[in-house]
Amino acid sequence: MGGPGIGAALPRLAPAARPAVEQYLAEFERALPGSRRAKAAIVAEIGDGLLAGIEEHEDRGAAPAHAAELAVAEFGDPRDLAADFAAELAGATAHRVGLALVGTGPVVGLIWLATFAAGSGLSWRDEVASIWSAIPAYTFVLLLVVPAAMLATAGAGPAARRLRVDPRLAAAAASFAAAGCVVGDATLITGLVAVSAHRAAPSWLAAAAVCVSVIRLSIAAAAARRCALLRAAAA
Amino acid sequence: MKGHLDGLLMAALEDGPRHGYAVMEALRTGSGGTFDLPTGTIYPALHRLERAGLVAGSWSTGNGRKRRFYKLTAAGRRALAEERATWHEFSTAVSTLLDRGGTWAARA
Repeated sequence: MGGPGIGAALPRLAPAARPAVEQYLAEFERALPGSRRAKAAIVAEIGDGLLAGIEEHEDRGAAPAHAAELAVAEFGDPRDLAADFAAELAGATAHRVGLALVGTGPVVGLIWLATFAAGSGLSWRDEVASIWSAIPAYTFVLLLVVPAAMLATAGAGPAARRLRVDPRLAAAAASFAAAGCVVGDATLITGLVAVSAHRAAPSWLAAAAVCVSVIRLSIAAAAARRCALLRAAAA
Repeated sequence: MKGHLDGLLMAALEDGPRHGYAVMEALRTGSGGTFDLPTGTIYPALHRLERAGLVAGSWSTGNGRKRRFYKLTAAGRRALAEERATWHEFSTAVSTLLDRGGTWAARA
């Protein structure tokens, strides 16, 4: 029953106490969203907490089965507990997604600028102007996505303490920014295809730009989905 | 209570690292049984403090048991000091007003 987190939490449990604890942890793990590693760590921590509670009640004279029931009752509804943890996972995940987007944005942008400039023979300033006029929607995407990615970083760390951003809001911002990144990368790849029809064969730089964007687009799509699921599950 | 939970948790960690259940026990015994919080409240709150960088969590293995301990960070100690100062100011003001015994000055 349950994943690796439950097994790690129960080695010291008396047989009479196991059914109540196993049922609680199984229900908790089912309701908890997030990656397998994150879930396993949280389930192991709650399992250890339940064990501590059982030991406490046994020290006061309760039989193992009754001690387990008391410990489980102290922790409350496992679905409510999972929802509270989902909020924390949402904030932490949003922070990582925001940092990744803010960090990779300028790098990927520079690779694309160099790609378009190398292909056209224009200076990089003229190339930027050319791209902006050819894909005006990209400006709109950047104006929305960049602030959203920065808001997502406030899901954890010093910014979370100072700005007190709700983790669900941070997760929504991360989801939006990641989805916007998918649109942006797809737009750039489409733009390159359109431009390549009128220019010389694409260079290795263009191939690298497409590779980088395909990788980022794939990761961003998964991140957008993960943040949306965590936000939906959060209390 | 909810608004001061973070401060209480940080105060419980001031003397050294504790795991989640030990934090709950410390609050219960330290308050003479007044604060008997649901254990399920403590763990997500500790994760919230960790997310904000106010506490740091780490796994420790002992007696074949893997347990997560939390300790205050430097930022957490500063935040706890601020929380204490704010609470003392608030509680002093409330006590002053509640202890006036009907001797409130009327506006002219």
